[in-house]
Amino acid sequence: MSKTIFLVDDSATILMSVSAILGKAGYSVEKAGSAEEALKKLNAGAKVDLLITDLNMPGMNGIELIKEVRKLPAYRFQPILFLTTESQQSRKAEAKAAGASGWIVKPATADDLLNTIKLVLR
Amino acid sequence: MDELTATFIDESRTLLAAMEGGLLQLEQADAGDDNVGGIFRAAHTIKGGAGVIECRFIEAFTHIVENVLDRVRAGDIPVSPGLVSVMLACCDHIGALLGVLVAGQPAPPQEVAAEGDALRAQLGQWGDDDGQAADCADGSTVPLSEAVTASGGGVVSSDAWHISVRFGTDVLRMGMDPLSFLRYLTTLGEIVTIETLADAMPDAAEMDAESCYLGFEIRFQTRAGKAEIERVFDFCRDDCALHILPPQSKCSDYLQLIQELPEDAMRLGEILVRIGALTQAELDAGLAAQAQPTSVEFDGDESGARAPLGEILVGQQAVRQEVVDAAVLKQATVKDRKIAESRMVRIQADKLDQLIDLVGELVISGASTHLFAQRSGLSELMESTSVLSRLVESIRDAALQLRMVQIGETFNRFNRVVRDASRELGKDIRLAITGGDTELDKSVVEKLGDPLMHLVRNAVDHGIEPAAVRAERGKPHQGTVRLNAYHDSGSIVIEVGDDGGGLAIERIRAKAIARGLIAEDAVMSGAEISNLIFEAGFSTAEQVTNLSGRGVGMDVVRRDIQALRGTIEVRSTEGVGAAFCIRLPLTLAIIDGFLVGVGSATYVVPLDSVVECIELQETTTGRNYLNLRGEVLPFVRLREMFEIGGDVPARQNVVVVQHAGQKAGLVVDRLLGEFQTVIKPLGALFQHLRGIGGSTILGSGEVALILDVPALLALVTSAEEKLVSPAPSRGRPSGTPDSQHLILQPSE
Amino acid sequence: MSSILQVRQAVPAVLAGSQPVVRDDAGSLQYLTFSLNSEMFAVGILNVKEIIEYGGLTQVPMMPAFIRGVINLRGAVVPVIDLSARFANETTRISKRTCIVIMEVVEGEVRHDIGIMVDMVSEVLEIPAADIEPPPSFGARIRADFIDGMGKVAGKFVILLNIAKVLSTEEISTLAAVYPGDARNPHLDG
Repeated sequence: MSKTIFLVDDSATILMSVSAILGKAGYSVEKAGSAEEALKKLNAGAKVDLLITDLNMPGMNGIELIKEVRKLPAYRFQPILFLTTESQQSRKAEAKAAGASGWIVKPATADDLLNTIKLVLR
Repeated sequence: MDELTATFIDESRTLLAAMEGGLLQLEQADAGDDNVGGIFRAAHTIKGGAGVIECRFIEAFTHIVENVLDRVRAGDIPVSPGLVSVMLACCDHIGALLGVLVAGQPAPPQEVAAEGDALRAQLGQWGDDDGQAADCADGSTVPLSEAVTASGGGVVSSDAWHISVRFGTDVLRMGMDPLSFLRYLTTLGEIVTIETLADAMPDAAEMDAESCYLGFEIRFQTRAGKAEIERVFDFCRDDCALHILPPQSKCSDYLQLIQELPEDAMRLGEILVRIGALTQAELDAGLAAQAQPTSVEFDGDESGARAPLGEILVGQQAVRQEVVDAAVLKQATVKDRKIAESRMVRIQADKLDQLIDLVGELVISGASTHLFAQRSGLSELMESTSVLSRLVESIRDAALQLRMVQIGETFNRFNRVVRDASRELGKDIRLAITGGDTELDKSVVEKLGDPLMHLVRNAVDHGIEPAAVRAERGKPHQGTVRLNAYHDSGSIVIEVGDDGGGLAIERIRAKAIARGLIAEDAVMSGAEISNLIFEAGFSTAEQVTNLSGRGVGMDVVRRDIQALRGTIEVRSTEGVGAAFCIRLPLTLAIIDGFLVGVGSATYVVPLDSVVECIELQETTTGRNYLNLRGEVLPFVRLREMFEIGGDVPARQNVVVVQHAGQKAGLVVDRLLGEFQTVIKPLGALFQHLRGIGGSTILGSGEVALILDVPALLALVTSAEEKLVSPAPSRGRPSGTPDSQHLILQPSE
Repeated sequence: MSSILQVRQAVPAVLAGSQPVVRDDAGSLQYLTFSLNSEMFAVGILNVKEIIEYGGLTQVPMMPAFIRGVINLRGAVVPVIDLSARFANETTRISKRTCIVIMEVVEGEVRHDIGIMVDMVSEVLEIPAADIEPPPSFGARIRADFIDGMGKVAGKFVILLNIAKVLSTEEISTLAAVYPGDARNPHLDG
């Protein structure tokens, strides 16, 4: 059974491109355009092997999302990656403190992305 | 164009509009952190998207913009009118670059590129020379590798890497499995030997099953460099103790490692020997060398110097976190959430239209099924079709709701229009927007842009007086143009108002007479004269400016609004201001209708405009008003109006309709009940037909016409006016000839 | 209201717009011929979408008489023009053989379906280009610009209609606007 990766990003461009890469690599992809939507889906019991979220989103941001997800029993130990950029290094620690497993630095190549996923997926 | 690029373009245009809105707000109000954050985020997302689709020219330019905005956000650059103007120009430029992308050109044409270069030069004044500093904050690898090379001593004989790792206790809670790292490590090379250290494991009673207490000493053979190995542990490096010694490291490096690791030095030494990192001899020699005080002091110094650095880093992050948290809190306004929600799903508009079309067909065939069921007389079938009808109705409402959008986005576009136009004219004008959250059908919104643009420009150009005149009239220096929207009995009302000079009634009258629109002795109210500006060929602009006086008159605006089944009227007080009031149906697709029959024909009256139905009490013939509970209700007989033959039935009914506060009756033969009406446009042949708003298909397959209540009411109202105040000579626009037959009998 | 003849489902806009008729190798043109008030007319086959029985017509009030009304053509509302009324102000009398020919009219980038009422549909004919005469300057009793040419078929003349002119939405809608009954001010007196 293929692993399900849950992508959260307010940029439709990112959602579409990343899910295309993941889909091609054989993963199932679940998408959400905001942290609020993501939480709603997770609360509804979406089966997720890995969550990848953007940090900078309108409304609830990625860090708050990570904190909330870690409160959900089913997702306490699931890997969570966040998307960040070179200029946002300072937020890495914040996101890690919130419970993130790791990060992907944008712009990332498909290989970077898939390698990182391979690292964190069980 | 591929779907991804199309998505990027669509998204970027939305973001650009948001960015522009934010910038205009910045110019007017204080530099709220949330606003600056939003502007930055828009630029940031566009840049990111451009990177994804590999559109380098957009990415490069937006990157510069983003950097400047980042510094504004950090408070390094103060907000100034100059900055906002340049940023607005940058928005335009990014828009132009998107245009280049849409056109499929590989690079911007010369003039666009030149524009970009000019903007880059302007952005240079807020240069981002120290923008790199922050990027190095994460360079914790640097001291580590320096430490490796800085130490002295003999080289050990081992030819493999040595990796020593102690995971942080929280690694599991971070969603990571220590084994993941080891497994991933094997993608780089081969683990020669590995020793697991569980020394940190507390007594069972104190042990937390969710914590990790493990460490590993690994001999690792690989062609990869140190950076690559380190990257494997990137995600846990801050929480774990990681030491990587390259092949042929100096013996002292291992000794330093032993010192730094938490376990007992002798035990570690044994382990290192056991896994083959060191030979016993090397270990012994090293331990002896360690006795030299300088070396120990050196090591101590270094680790001592490193700790505070880490603390400083953490300290910096803590400060940043507060700043960020505050900004985030402010961002969490209702409005932002709405934007976030509206972004949840993106659907191509034509897919949605297709769905609405299908729902329309579903409604029609549902109606036909219901009809057959009723004819069959089978009660079970009738019951099941009425359940089906209710469901279809719900689906219809839900589907139409999908296409409802807030008008705010359309309104906000005018911030820029008003700003630029007022500057050009040397006027100080503010745009006040209210009711931006009012929803209406997307297809209506799309067609509103042009007429609204015309009205707003008209208000800026001709409405608001020059500053000198305003001062003379005792008005505030700053003029106000208002955009407002609200729902009113099944319609949406959009108002474009200004506190300018209002319409010059006498000038309009004179012009209308000159153009032959009205007779010289026409007796008309101020409101009637004002509304003459919508007549074809009428333009009040005395001078042609490059803004609105381009020969396009208000008649075009009215035509556009009528094409949307709407109406427009103007209210004006000379010297005080004018307001254009547009009334539109909420949707162009499906409405609730009320079926009426006249002769063999069936008509649909939009249910929203139906007030009640009463039986017509014929007392005197030829009387076209009735007493509705003490109120004079004028009515039209559809049979006569539509020239429908056949015998008039003994009993007729009156459908009382209302629009914009006016009531009238429609006399029909039969009342046939409510009907979900899928609007089918009548097409270009009937574009000049007034009084009929469209058509629909009944359950029987027959076409029924939909009555345009506002247009019908306009006819009845003019009849009513004659009834209330019979004037000897009423002026009316030519083209609507004076109709003597409209004069009614005096009231009893 | 069943379809008598399904001529074709759709024609690419480009083709329908630029080429009113099919021309085979011999330079022949294909036409649908029909009779109207005992006169033979023809229209280029590429403009014809289908032919249906007359019926199910809904009258549209306040419109000139030559606009007979609208019909439901598989969910689309299509106007029906009374050609006889358009040509000569004589309303067509409905008979068993009265048909509606659904035509596709291309104006600019817009395509409309418009039905025309005819007394009887005859056949689809090939008329060689050599057998087509230019329209007479007078004497045809219908407007010269409505005629593309006069085709010779079995020793008789058939009037080849210029459908773009006959069914010009611009002209028809303008005519409707100045309809003598005046759509804007219908009779209200009782």
